[in-house]
Amino acid sequence: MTEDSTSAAVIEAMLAIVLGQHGGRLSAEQIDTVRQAVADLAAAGERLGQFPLDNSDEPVFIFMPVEG
Amino acid sequence: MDPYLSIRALGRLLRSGETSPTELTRFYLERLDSTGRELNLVVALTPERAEREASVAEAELRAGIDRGPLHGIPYGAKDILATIGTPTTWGAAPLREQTFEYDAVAVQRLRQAGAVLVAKLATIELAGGMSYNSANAALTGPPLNPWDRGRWTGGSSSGPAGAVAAGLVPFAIGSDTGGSIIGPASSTGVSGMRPTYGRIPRTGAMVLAWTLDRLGPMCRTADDCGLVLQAVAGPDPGDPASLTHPYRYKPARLASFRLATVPRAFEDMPPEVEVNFTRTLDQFREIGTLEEIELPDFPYGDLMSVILAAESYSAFDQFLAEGRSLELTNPGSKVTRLGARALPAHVYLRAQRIRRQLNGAMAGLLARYDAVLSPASGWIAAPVDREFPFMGGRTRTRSINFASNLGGLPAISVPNGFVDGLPTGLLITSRAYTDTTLLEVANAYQNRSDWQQRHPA
Repeated sequence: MTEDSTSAAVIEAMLAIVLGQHGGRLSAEQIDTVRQAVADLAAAGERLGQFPLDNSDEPVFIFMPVEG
Repeated sequence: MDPYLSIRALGRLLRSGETSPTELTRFYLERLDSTGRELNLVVALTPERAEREASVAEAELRAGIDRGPLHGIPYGAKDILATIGTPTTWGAAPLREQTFEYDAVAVQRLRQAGAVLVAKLATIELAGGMSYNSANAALTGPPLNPWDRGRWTGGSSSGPAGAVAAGLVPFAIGSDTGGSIIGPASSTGVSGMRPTYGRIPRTGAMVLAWTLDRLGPMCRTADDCGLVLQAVAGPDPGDPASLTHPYRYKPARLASFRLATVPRAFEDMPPEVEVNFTRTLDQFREIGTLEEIELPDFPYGDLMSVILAAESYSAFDQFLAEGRSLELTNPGSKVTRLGARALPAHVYLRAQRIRRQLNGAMAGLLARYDAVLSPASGWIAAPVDREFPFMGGRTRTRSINFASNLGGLPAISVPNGFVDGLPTGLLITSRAYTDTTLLEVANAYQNRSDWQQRHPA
C-alpha cells in the first residue's frame, strides 16, 4: 500500500489531533511538514496492518510482574 | 606524539614511561581545542576534570596499580551522556544549560578503568530523534568530516566519529538507535561498534527509544572497541534492559569463519562502494567460507519508523507539548516528530508484534554463520551544505542494518576503502550475544588490511 492510498480524510483527522495541541505555534510551511509526517506514519501503519499475525502473537517485550 | 595510536600502543608508551596520562591528556585537549572546534566536533572540554583524573591515573601507574588497558587513556563522550560539572546539552540549543548531578554509568565505569574524560562531543540535536534533513542539525554547527571539510561526519554520533578520525581522542563513546554509530563510523573511517542490546547500561544517557537505544565504542580499531566494551559492559540496576552477566573480551580465532553476505544491500548504491565491498569479500574468502543469503521478507523500514516515532514522542512528550522542539535548529527537527502524537497505540503494538517474528526469523537465518558482511552505508559522506536526499525515502528495503537495530544484534563498521578520498565502511553483523565473535571477525579483517591505519592529512 502506498502513501497515496491512505485516505486523505484519515490524514486530515490525524493532523487535527496534532494541531489541537500545537496548531497555534506552527506556520503554514510547518503544518505541511507535519502533514507529510502524519501521512508517512499512516502509510507505514497501513502496511504493517497487512502483515499476517495470529491472535496469540505477543509484542517483542513481555510483561513481568515485580516480585514483592 | 602520534595522535593516531591505538589504545594498546598508547598503553605500552604509558607503561614504559615514554609518556604519561597528564602529557597525553594535555596533548589531546590541545588538539580538541584547535582542530576539534574548527570541525564543530566539540560541545565542551573538561580540562579540570581531565587534569584531576589524569593525575590520579599517573600516581596509580607509578605506584604499580594497573587498572587495565584504558588506564591513563583520554577519551570523549557523546554529549547525551550525563557528566557532573559540565552541561549535558543533548546537542540541543534549548537544553544548552542542562546539568546533571551524576555521571552516566558508562562514564563511571570508564573512570574506574582509569580512563580520562577530556571532552563532551557533538551530537545531532536529541541524537537525531526528532528527524532531520541536513548536517546543520547540531548545537555546534554542522560537524565537518576531517577527510574533507566540505563533507559531513554522519550522525548522530558525529563528534565521537570525527574526533577519533581526526586524532583528537584515542576513543569515544557514541550511541546508536537507528544507525547513529554505524553511519558516522563508515563516513569517517573509524571502527564503530554497537554491541548486543543491553550489553552496555544506558543509565544516565538520554533516552530516545527504549527498545532500540544502545551505547557503543568508537575507536581506531575493532580490537580497541573490544577493550572499551569490556570496561563499560555489565549489568546495572538503573537500566532494566541491561544484560545480567558480565562481559569479557578474549578474542582467539583469526580464521575459519562461516560468513554470509547480503547482495543488493542498498538501493542506488554508488558503484565505487560496491567495488570496495567486492574487494573486501575477496579478503574474507581467505579466512572463511562465504555464502550469499537473502534477508526474510519483513517491513523493516516501517517497523523502524513506527517504533522510533512512538517511543521518541513518548520520551519527549513534555518537551514537545511545551513547544520546545520549535527551538531546535533543523527545520525538520522542529516539527516532524509532532506527527507521532496521532499515531495509534495499536499500530505501535502491531509493530512490536511483527518485530518478534522478524527477530525469530533472523536468529534462525544467522544460526549457521559467525557474521554477515555488507556495506555499512549506501552512500559516502554527504556535502554539509545540502539537504540529504536519503533520510526519508529508503525505508522499505530489506536492511541488515535495520534487522540489527530491531533485533539488538551486535554490529561494527570498519573502514574498507575510499571513494574520492572519502572512507567507505564494511558492516559486520553477528548473532545476539556473540560480541566477541563479531570482534574476532573484524580483527581478522583488520589484520589483513591497513585502512584503519590511514588518517586525514
